[in-house]
Amino acid sequence: MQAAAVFRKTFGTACRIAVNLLIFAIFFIPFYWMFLTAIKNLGQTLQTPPVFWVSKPHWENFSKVFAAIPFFHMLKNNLIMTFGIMICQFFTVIPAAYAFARFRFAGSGFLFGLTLATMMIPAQLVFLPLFLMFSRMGLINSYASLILPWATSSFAIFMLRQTFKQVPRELIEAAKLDSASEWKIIFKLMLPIAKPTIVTLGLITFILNWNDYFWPFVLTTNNAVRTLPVGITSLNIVDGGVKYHILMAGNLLLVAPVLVAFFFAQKQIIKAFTYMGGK
Amino acid sequence: MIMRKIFALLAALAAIISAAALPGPSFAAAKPIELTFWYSWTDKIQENNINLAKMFNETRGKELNIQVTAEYQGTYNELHQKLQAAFVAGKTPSVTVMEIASIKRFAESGVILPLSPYIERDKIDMDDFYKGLLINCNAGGTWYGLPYLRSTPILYMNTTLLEKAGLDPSGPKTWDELAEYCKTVKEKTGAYGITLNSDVWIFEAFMFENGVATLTPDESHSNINSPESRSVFAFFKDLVDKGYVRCVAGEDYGKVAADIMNQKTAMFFNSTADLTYNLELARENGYEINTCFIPSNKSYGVPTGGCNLVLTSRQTDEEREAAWEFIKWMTETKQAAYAHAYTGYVATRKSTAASPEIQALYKEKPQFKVALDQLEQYGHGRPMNPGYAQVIVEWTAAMDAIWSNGADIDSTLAAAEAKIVRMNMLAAK
Repeated sequence: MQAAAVFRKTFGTACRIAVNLLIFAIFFIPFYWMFLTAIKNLGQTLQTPPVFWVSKPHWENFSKVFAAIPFFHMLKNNLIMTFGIMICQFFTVIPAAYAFARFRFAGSGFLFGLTLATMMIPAQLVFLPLFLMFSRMGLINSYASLILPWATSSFAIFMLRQTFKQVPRELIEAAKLDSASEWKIIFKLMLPIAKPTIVTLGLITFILNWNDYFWPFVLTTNNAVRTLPVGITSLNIVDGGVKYHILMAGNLLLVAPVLVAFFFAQKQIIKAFTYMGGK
Repeated sequence: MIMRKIFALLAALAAIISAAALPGPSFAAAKPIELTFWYSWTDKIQENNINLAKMFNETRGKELNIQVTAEYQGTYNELHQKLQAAFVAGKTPSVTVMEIASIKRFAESGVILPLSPYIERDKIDMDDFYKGLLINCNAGGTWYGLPYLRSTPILYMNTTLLEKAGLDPSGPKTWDELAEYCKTVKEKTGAYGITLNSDVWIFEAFMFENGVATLTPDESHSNINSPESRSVFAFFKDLVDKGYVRCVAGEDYGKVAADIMNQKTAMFFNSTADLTYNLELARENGYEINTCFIPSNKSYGVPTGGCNLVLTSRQTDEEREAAWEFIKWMTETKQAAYAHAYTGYVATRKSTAASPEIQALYKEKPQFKVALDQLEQYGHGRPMNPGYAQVIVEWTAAMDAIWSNGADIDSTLAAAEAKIVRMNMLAAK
């Protein structure tokens, strides 16, 4: 009996370690491969059997990225676009979510349904009319054309509304008794409670827009406001052989800020999901 | 507190945005005519386009008070789509590159202008361009483009492997020799004779070598189920079945590139535009590369590819004149030589090939000359029927099925032809 229990326990631990290792490998190996390809030379990139270690790293691949595209100009554009969108969404999403969560007014159900319906329309469907609209307004190649289509987000409104709905009614009633204004209730009560959700939404918006290729490419015809994903992708748009090592070096530079952002927001994200799950 | 912080942040951001969006100071006294020029592809091609535009601005452009800005727009397909959208919105570039098979489509929809009046007025010597390159510059007897970055497929050989197999590194001349080469390479070295992907552009060459094109001369029917097509499919299928040749499905060239780098194949078909890239690969992986004509069956023959320069319609007369000056300058002998040497695309003019700097280049890198000789004698055009894009999809699928998945030739091709007819792919619009 004793031996069986020990065996079961050891076996269980071994299984858990094996599964954990597997999961770790699934998530880690692509990044390792990306890093490895970024420091190889062209000849090594498609070598079979593949090599998992490079003894002579080619760091110059990174400087080749800087030479191939206006990297810092595009980085600046990426920052302006991404944070511009995040700030716009902060001011459009929170009031909308609050209104949908707290008030029932004429047509509130219909309007909320309409908001959700916009999630189901793919970008490819609206890009031509949007392009024409922006073109007629003379906004092609401007930051406005990159930010305005994303100035609000139905997904974020939905998520935040759900979080706001979880706030106990008594808490709001208590605040009202203390004659707090609606704005005060939003900023002093609702937002602190919803902080994990807001951080998560912020991160999702950040990643989505930081990596967006389609819009910044469609709505620009020159490099004035083009963003990094357009630049990095252009390394792949060659009539001839792709230089995988340069492409991967560029990709590494592109995803680095996302990894940093995730690293800092990690705790909040986990909280956001456990909080919602717990209720 | 929070609000104040946010407003401060907003104000800072607004300052950044407005600073970034402000146009730079303009000093020009007599305002130059400003033109935009769209191009596809990055890397060497991008550098070539930017350099040439800059050279124009400093020389001819300065004399005529024209300033050209070169703008990158992705692949040929992406550029075409953006051009269409820009045309609808009323804001097209003045000059753009255009993939050669698409000229007719854009000419018919009025996006691009006939060049014939300008060519006649300025007495452009069209005979100086290689004949094979001009076919796709013309739609319905009217010139719409001038040859710019143009290519042909050639046969690349890893001569290190060929020598190891005891074969002549100058390459096979006929299809029989090609089959022999594949057999010997496999038996002596273990590598494949050829690694091939499903690329219809290369298949067009195989068809020309059997005396026909992929479409009938009036482009109303496909030759996919013709005896010539069936014999091409059979020839390579036989080599695949024997294990001498490897076919990878799809248009994606990545797997072929992997075989080349790892020296798992002795020969491959590819565009002349890839010569510089392949020489670099060979150097890094320690083997030698040579090029030769794609071997002949009934005759030699290759399609051409790449892009022409075209003039768009939605601009003022003054802009059109300026844009034509740019196109004219870009395709002159000297500039054609620059683009040829910089990118590896073929020399478009006879006078370019004869120029001393290009003759010197051929001495140094004889691989460059092979493509030119092949083009001069055996270059053809590509089908320009707008429905050809759909036929290509069917043709690629047939190549995948027969060469990579072992499907039966007769029934696959009969079904493909039936589908092309049934769906009216090549019907007049």
